[in-house]
Order: sequence, then C-alpha cells, then structure tokens
Amino acid sequence: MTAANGKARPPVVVLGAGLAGLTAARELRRRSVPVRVFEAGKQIAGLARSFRDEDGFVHDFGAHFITNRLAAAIGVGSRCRDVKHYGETVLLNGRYYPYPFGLMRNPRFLASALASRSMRRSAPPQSAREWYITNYGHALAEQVAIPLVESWSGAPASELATSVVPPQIDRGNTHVLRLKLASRLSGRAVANGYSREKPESAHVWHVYPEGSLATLCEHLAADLDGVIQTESPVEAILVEDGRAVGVQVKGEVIEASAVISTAPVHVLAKLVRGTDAVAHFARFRYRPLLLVNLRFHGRGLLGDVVTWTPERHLPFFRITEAPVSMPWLAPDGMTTLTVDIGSETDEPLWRMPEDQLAELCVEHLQSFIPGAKRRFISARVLRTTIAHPIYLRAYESERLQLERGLPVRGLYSIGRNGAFAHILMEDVYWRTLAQMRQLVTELSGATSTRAQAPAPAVVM
Amino acid sequence: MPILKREELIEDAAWTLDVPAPERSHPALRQACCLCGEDEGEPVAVGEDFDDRERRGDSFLVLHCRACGVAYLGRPSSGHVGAANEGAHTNAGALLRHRRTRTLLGRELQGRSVPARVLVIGDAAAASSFATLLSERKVAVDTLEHIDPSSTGGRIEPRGSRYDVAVVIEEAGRLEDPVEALATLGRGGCTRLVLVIDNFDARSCRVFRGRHWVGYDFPRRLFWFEPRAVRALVNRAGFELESLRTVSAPDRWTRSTHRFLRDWGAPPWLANRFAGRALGATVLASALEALATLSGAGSVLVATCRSRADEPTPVST
Repeated sequence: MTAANGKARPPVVVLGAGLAGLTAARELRRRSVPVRVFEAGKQIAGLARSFRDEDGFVHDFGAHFITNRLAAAIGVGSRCRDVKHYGETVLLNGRYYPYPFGLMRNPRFLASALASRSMRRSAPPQSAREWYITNYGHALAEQVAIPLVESWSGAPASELATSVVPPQIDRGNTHVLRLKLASRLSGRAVANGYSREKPESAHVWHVYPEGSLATLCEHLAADLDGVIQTESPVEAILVEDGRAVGVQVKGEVIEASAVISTAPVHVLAKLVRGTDAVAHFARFRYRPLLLVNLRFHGRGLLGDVVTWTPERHLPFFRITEAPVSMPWLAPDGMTTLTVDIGSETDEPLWRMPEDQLAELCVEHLQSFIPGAKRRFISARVLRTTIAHPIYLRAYESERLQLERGLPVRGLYSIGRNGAFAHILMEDVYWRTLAQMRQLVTELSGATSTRAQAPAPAVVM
Repeated sequence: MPILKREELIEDAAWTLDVPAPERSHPALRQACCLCGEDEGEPVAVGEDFDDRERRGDSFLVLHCRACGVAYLGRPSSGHVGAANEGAHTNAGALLRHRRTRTLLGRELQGRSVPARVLVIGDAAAASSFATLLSERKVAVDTLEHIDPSSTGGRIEPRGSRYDVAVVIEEAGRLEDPVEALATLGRGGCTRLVLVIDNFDARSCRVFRGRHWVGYDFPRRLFWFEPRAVRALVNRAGFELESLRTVSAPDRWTRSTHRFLRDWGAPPWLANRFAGRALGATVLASALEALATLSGAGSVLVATCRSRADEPTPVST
C-alpha cells in the first residue's frame, strides 16, 4: 500500500504478539498493509502457553476458552481435541448446585427469583448490586451473585457498573437449556455463554489445542515472517496533531501509519506522548489474581469442572478441575485444582509465601473434599497483576467512550486488556478482524482523501 | 512442598511442550465472496470431512455473504488445498438417480432447438449418467470432470470441438473463480448453459446448515449459492437466466440426518436407517422435500441460461 505521494506508506505498528496482536498483524498483511509487531517478551503468545512438568502435569496460565469455530477460523482445527464436558456448579453450605438451573432447587432462591421477575421495574439499575437484586431477587443476589462479583472484582457491588454483568447472562432460559441438551446429546462441551460476537449454537463447542495453547498464536505467526520483533518493548507512542504517527522502541523512533496497542489501557495511557487525550485511562483498574495450582491424587473431586464458592469465609471464589474435561492435563489417577484468589497486591494474601498459600487452600478444601490433605501432592502458584478489568462506575462513561474508539486518530486499543473488556478468545479474534477491516478502510480513505486535497487527514 | 514462581515456569524452556511446526495459510486461495470480493461474511457453519474424518480430522468454517447470498469456505490449511479437485464424494450421481431431475434436465435441453453437441461437466458418475441419458436421445455428448481454465488456456474444448450447450453439474461450487470459469464456457462458444447446484436456501440446508448439511462436502467445495446468488453468478459470467427452479432431492435430508446422527454418537442401528434407501427414512425425506420444493425451497437448483453473445443483433433502422 502506498501513500498518495507515491512514497511507501509507513507500516502499521502493533504492540504485543498475543492473540489480538497477531490476528491484527495477519489480517493487515493479508490486505497488503505493511505491518511490524513489537513484543516485549522473549516469546510470542504472552501467557497463552502451556507447560508440562517433570511429573506429567500440564499447566496453562489461567483458563482459556477456545471453540472449534475459532480453531477453524485460524486454521488449526486439525490440531485440536474436542473437550467432552464442561459444567459449572455453585457450592453453598457444603452442597453443590449445578449452574444455573440447579440453584432453583433451593426454595428461597426460587421464590426470590420469581418475586423479582414479577415486580414492576421503575428505573434501570444503576449498579451491579441493583442489577442482581432486580433480576435475581434478594436471596440469590445476596448469597451468590454479589459475593462472587465482589471477590472477582475486588470492589463493592454498589460501586460496580451494570456492565460487569456479561450480556450473555441474560440470553434466556430456553437458549441455555437447548445448548445444555445439545452438549449432553453430542458428548461435547457446547459453548454456553462464552461468545458475545458470534451466535452460539449446538455446533460450537470447546476444543483444546494438542501440544500447547500457543499453537494458535504460532499458527498466526507463521504468516508473519520478518514482522515480529521480540524483546522489544515499545517505550512511547508518538502523537502529533491528534494522530498517532510512530513509536519509540529501544530509543529508536519508528514511523507508523497507525498504532495498534494490546497493552492494558492504564499502561497505554502512560505510553502516549504528544497528547493527554487518553491520560484519563490511567485510572482504570485491573484485578490482580492469585492462581494456585494444587495437585491431588484422585479425580473428580468437585461437583463439576468449575465450582463457584460464594461463601465469604473462603479465601477463593472459584476452583477449576480442568482434568475432568481435559484428562490429558494430568497423569492418570491424579488431578489439578486451580484455585482463584482475588487479591490486591498490597494485601497479605498477595505477599503470603507460596507454601503457606497452598496450605491455606488445602485447609479450606478439606471441608468439602474428603481427605484433601491426604490426597494433596504439591502446588505451584501464579500471580498475575492483570487478570481482568474492574468495571467501576467511577469511570464507566470513559469506558463507554473507549468502546467507541480512542480519541486519537490512528491509535487503536484492542484485545482483552486493550479493550478493557472481559471477553474470551473467540470474541477477541472476531472483534480484532472487524477493527482491522475498519482500519484498512480508513487507511484507504486517507490515501484517496489526501489525493484529492492535501489536508486535513482522515477522520476516524 | 515444591513451589515454582511464574517466572520460573515461563523461563524453564525444558517444560515447553513439543509443538509441530505451524502450517502457513495458503496464500493463493481466496477467502471471500466470489461475486463481490468481500471477505466479511458471518460464520454460519463449522464442519468436517464426514466422509473421511479419520484421515483429515480438520474442521472447516463456512462464511456467509449476506449481501450476495453466497457462502464460502474459510481459509483451509495448506494440506487441504487441492482437495476441491478430489471428485470422489460429490452428490451429483445421486442427484441424477432421481428420474424427475433427469427428465427436467432433458426437457430443459430439448424443449428448445435440438442441440448438436453437449458438454457435461461434473464428477465422473454424474457426467456419464447424464451423457448416457442424452445419447439415448441422439445428442452428441462429451464429458469433462472439471473446468480448469488455467490448464485449457481459457477455452473449454477438450476434444477440439465447440459445444452448443454446457451442463454444469455441481461444479460451480468447486471452482476458485466460478464467474471466470463459466465465462470461459461462453467464450468457448456455448450458447446455452444449464447449471445444477445445491441450494443454500433449501429447507434441508436451513435445518442442517450449522454443520451436517450434505451439500457442504468439506473440503471439496469452496462456494455455495442461494437462488439470488445463482442469478448474479450467471449474469456476471455473461449469460442471461431463462429459468431458475428448485428440484427435489430427498437424499439431502437422509444423508444430512445420517451425518448428524453419526456425529452425535447415535447408535448405528439408528444412524444406518438414514444411510441407504431405508423405506421409512426415504418416505419421510420425500415428504419433507416435496413440501419444500412446493414452496420453492427444494434442495437443488437448476438454472437454464442463454449466452448474451447469442442474442440477436438489433436491426438498425
């Protein structure tokens, strides 16, 4: 692609070689747009990697939901295995309730949910707390939904915007039931509540790449010869006259026709030079998370693959036993429980030594996993300071502005962290494609606009 | 208690799993609507090669261009490029087993002036079946398994002959550029074109569209057409549409149902009821297909077209 003056157009610069960055780069390259990718780490794929230890356990960094539709779109369908089963339960007072309909077995929850449905709503809810009470009733909201969202976010539900409630949670019972039935009949983990961008159906289910989660990114990167530069953190994004014009990497200024950032928005705000239009994103917060991988003898120790634990005396809010749905992740007769603990970095839990943290978890697990201490083998701990966005009401209007695009021309913030959105891998992929098509259109428009008149530049 | 920090996990390269070398996408294969060139279609299906799942094991995405009514195959891996030219699994032979379809095609050809030479293009079974039918009617027939404009220099003259009529049976969906291929037929002298193709707007397709529709025939087809897309296709290729109708093909129901049952792990005794010509399944499928055809949503489209180059020159006054 060339500019109107016949000079080669400078490349589009992409910050980050994770799923979003690589999808963006491949899409641009496919459309003949020159592109360069700068990755701060030594490897591509960020934390979307898998590791096998000497005992035969496979570790992923956090949960990754990949569908057969995403795998087919990227072109790695033949390298993925079907996930046979996926289910969630809620653990309350030592009893498992399958999510979501099992909770209705509790008469108090059922009564409160029915009562809330029958009440006339005077005004739309202003906070997550109001949303849950309005839609679920007091009992279900106070005992399950609100404790979970508060542990997940690290903020009171009254301070959280309603956007913390994922839109797919309100899809309708018939839809959820239909997908659950399809999952049961087909023997596959039909994706149920894991896609916002594309419709869910009985034919879209969870898969897992053979070998490693990195398969997806490595496949995307295979089309990007000579484009990706690792160990090259972008130090600054340069903006002139309200337009991104380049980046600074290792002290060198690199001209760019557009800049695509996958960095968390509070980091992006600090990278941008030449304008303060995005400075307010610096106060956006992400939730730090402790992921404690505990190995046990036995398998099927919990009610289902994911167990939500809303009881406030427990230090964790979610436990995932991935080998139940993906047996290859642990040796036969053993399993891994990943315990999610929300904690700010200045809290005691965050600073707790790993062995103490593991002991604390096992101690609590003992109350609902018989013989947990006896079964326990070992533990590994992952700390991530940026697990997911916190949807505070305090900056909801700015977040909505971010959804519409950044106020700097030629600057895009994409991906899960860049969009400040709790979206999963398939949504990241489809959103990124759509954004890159928009960018290409704008770059083409910029060419023709400049060809007709020298100024002003293209308007986003 | 062994505890490793995240940094150690990442840095310990010995733990990284062996991953096979990634395949490149095939650069030459377009992933776009063959009519408008847009590549922003909505994903409507994810399927597999149900005829050969053991060997391939890949999954394929179908994207739908709502503007044109064309569905197209998402980017396959390089291992599957060329699969579109494997002709073993097309359904045309089965289609032509239906007497009504054969009769209809015969009528389309002979209802007008009797053609001197006919070229039948489609997989071997379909082409030979139809060629036999026409030969019985004293029509000279040649057959061609695939249109390959690149190997014929843009001319479809396999035996140095010119043809009055080309009958293209389920081939249009297998071509990388169907518009150009059909236009090649027109340039080769074919004045009439009969296009037989699966209907992407058929009732049977709508029911099984998400995965199991037999018309997908992954990965051997690249495009699927709604009736309006067929209109646009022949128009772009330089032909004028004379008639477009849907015809009945009950096997689209039975075979799609068979795929669905097999894919979802139904017991063989149940799945096999839809595999062959079991009476109950055939009767049910025929009834469903008859209703669909009556409402214009039959499983197969038959388009009869005339080359615009064949139009009489207006008399100047």
